Amino acid sequence: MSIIESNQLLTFKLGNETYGIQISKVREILTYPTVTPIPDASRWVKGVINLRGEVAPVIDLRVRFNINNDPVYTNRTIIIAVKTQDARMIGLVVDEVSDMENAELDRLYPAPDMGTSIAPEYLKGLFKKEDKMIVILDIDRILDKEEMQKLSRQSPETTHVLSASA
Amino acid sequence: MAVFDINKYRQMFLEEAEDIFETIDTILLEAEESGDMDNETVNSLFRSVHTLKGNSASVELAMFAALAHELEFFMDRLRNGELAFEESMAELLIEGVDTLKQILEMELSGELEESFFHTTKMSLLQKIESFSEDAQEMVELVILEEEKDDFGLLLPTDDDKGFGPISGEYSEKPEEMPESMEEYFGLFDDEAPQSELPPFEDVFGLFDDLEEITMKEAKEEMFGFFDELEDHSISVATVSSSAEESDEDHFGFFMEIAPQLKPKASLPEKRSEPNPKEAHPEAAVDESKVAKKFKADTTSNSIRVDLSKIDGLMNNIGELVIAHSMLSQYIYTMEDQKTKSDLSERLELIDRHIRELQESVMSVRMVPMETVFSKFPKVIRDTAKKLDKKIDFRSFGESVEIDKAMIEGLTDPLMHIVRNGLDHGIESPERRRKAGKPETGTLMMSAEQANGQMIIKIQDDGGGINLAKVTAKALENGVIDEHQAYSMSDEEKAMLIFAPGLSTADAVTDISGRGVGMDVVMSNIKKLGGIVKVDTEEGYGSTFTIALPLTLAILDGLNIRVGTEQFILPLSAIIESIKPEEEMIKQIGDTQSEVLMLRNEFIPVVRLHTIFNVEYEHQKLSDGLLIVVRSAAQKIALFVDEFMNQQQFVIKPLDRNFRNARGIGGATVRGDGTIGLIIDTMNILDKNY
Repeated sequence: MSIIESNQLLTFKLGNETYGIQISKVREILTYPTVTPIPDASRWVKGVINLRGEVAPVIDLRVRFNINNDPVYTNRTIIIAVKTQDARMIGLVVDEVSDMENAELDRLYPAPDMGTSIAPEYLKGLFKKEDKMIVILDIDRILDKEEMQKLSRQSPETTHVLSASA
Repeated sequence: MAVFDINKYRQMFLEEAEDIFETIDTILLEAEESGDMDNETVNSLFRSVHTLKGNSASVELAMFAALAHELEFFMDRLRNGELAFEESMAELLIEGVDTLKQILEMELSGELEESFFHTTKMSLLQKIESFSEDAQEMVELVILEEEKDDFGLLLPTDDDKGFGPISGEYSEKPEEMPESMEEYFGLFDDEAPQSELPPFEDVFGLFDDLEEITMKEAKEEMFGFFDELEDHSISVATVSSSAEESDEDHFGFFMEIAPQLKPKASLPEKRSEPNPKEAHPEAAVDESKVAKKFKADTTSNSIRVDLSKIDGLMNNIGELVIAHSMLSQYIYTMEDQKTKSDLSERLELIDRHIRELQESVMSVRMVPMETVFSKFPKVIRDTAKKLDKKIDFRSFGESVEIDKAMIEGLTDPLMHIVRNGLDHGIESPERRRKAGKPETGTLMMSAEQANGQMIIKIQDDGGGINLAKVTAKALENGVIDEHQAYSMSDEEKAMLIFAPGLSTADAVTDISGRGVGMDVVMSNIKKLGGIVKVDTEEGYGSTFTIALPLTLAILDGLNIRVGTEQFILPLSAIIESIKPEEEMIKQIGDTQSEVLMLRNEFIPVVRLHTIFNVEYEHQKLSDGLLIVVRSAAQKIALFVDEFMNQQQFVIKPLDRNFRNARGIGGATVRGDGTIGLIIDTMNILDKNY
């Protein structure tokens, strides 16, 4: 059972590219709600929301990986709530959620050094499905606590003025 | 042999042993000071050591148990008048207990070698011996080591109902017993199925009240059939099963203890028989009869609870508070006035109950500062001795309560500050005399609650901090630059001691180390959500002040609005709020800083929209509102656009993902499901935004 589970990917789009996350990491999928901004946070940390009673930060992957630095937030924008290895709940903003795909995780292509919008150290690999390539994200690496803490404090030059829910 | 994890039980033993050691330390310190020990104290000491011995034996800490036995024996002789208490005995006892602690540590970590233990024990015995004329007896005891004898009486078997003689021993710390021993019985019971043994409570629960009974009564009533044994206080901590091997294992411990029966005991015939089975039934029966007698008066009941259970309770209450606020919000939006008011009324009832529940649970977590203070007298005494200084320790506010979860994080920093004060603060008697001070230095520790904070002060009348030296060192280490060194105030210079890498100790002493500790002290206190400050006056002494939040989980807050954003301000921080008149606002020199002049006090103004980088509504201070807040001794006035309602909030941590966001101390779930950010006034004050 668990083998099948870990082979299932939730795929979604960031801009024009399709990405995937292991379904076992996903806790919830919701439409973009009212987000409370955190003062002094980086551009890609939109703020915090209430996820099942927990205060969860909202990370916009599009901004984080420079796929779209001025993204829109419509009623079609989705937040994928994931739970990291160390039990933190975090919301990831994506453009739209696509299908679930079965992937044999032992048949992944290694991520190339260039060509993907997201640096290879954040990826588990590439999965070829029919005619498309799904880039599988390493969520624990992207949301590594130390890295988040380091990067969540923005540099003085990029002050941004908070305004009511983005 | 049943598979059990002895380490778990050893851990439990260790926890209880720590408490017992503290009690013993307090008693011995008093005895040392007063030079005397009354009977009741001796008895109390005896019981403590006795418990230690018994409990340790059951977790197979044989060497510790053996050493404890020696001490216990010594105390027994004091207790029954064989030896009279002399002033110097206190010191010997303190030393003995210190040795005991050391042996415990070593045995637990597996580092205790037989030879070391033997030498230690012998040396202790020799010292004890110098008080006693009965040297002969001591020698005899040692020789009898080898005899593995029948403790017949001590062996419960699976066909009897009682635990025989074991009982008495545990009466010493009744509240501790049931908890601690319960598992032990499970453990050793290999063969005999659990059900055959009477429920623990029956036999042991009954001893709850023994604390009240003096040894004398107990001796007569409970120990009736133990007359002969009682003199030697044999304690069989374990209830072993009838399995042969386990018998031997357990009796292994008592090898050293058993023989002491020999010289004096005249055991009743049946007990000296190798076959334990016969001895038992009567012992068991008698015992349960006796035991039942005491069931009537139950005394203080306390129970050890895992902190996580209480955390769970707090969480549940937190969710209740959130649900309540959601309901309240919803009712507010109702149109039908009648229903609205009916519902509101009933909701208020619920609100009251929730508050009470919350207060109850919070109080469960609160323990008196006493538990923190009690660790210090001994440490101070030892350190003062080592340094050849005379120090008087005073504490105030023992009954002030603090959240148990904080105690752990607090003890180390306090210990460090104290050690530092003893080492670098208080001068030697000679220097003090020359300075015209009394030879004995004073170290004062106090605790009080003020403004939703716990304020702890450690004050010494030593030589104070040498500001010049500290500043020079900071300059040398690059912590500050020339300009700063020149323009810093004395307070700021004093705070330099908390900078990392600073040490003005001329020699590294093992008392307070390199002084690297002070920055660790600060970070530890910060972890608890508090701050630490130091005030010093050269020649007169220093005062360390620690301010900690009272507790954590639920907060009474005020909703405030800055532009389009809302924040929450903890009520406990608020002193007052005003709509300022233009004349009350002054500008400082040519800087942008504004101050509020309130009743002859100048309070710096902080514009919240600047800190939080939000759009704001009002530009002129006189158009908005100023809320005066305080943290420790400082005040500032926060500029907001509007303030709204007050309500209770459940604090949820933010820092799992973010390093301290500026000015924000936590978050909460609002009634409408969104997250509200809680302002941290200490952070704003600290960082001087």
